[in-house]
Amino acid sequence: MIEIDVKQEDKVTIVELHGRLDSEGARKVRDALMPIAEAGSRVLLDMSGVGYMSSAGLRVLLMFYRKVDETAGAIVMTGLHPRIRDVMEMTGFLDFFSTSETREEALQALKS
Amino acid sequence: MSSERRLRIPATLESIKEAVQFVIEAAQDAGLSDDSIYHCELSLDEILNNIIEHGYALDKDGQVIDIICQLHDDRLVIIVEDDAPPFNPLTMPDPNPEEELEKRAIGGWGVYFVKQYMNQVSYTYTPNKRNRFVMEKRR
Repeated sequence: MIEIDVKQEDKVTIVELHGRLDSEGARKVRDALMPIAEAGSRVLLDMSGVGYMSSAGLRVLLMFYRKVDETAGAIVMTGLHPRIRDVMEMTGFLDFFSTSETREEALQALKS
Repeated sequence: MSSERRLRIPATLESIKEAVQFVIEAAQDAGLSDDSIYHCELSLDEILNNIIEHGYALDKDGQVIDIICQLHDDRLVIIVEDDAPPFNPLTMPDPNPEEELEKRAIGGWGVYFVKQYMNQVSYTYTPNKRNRFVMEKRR
């Protein structure tokens, strides 16, 4: 089960995920995120409610990153659980994604 | 001292939850750390998804997957058996963690996780025509 909250703050789209990013969760997240990746979109992805992520979740993040990158947008992730950070480090994804310790920092980075 | 537990699930994505719970409990009873339990959960999830989506891709009806947990003093052994066409996931080339995201293959990370997080993995095609994938996590 996963819940996806999307809201707009100034020009930043804030996406909060709560639950498991397994294959079922990843499908829901894909359907919710892909339409958000419009031209030049700036997205804050708050992962603090996600304690589990399989390769299906990683695939969705990759697809989303590519779509946002193609349209010259930006994504900043925040609230990465240590186990998810470990998976993202091991797979080299962390070298490409911008991450922030706090949501405030992430917002600042996206607004500037 | 060692003991064995078995679970048979239908080859459906909805059944993965039950199997994951079964393995979490076995891992807890085997005295694995929280991180190790997470690694077992993740590895099983990846293997079952592969079997259901690729192994049984064309013919899921009535098919089953067996999960066997062997609890030893120093480790948990998880065995997954299915009747899909023979396929050894360990022969898949590893994705490259240093490759730019723009160029990366979308798939292949699941088996990579399993290889990285479990202490030992092996595959055999059994004489009774089953795929048998064995993963081991030490305490």
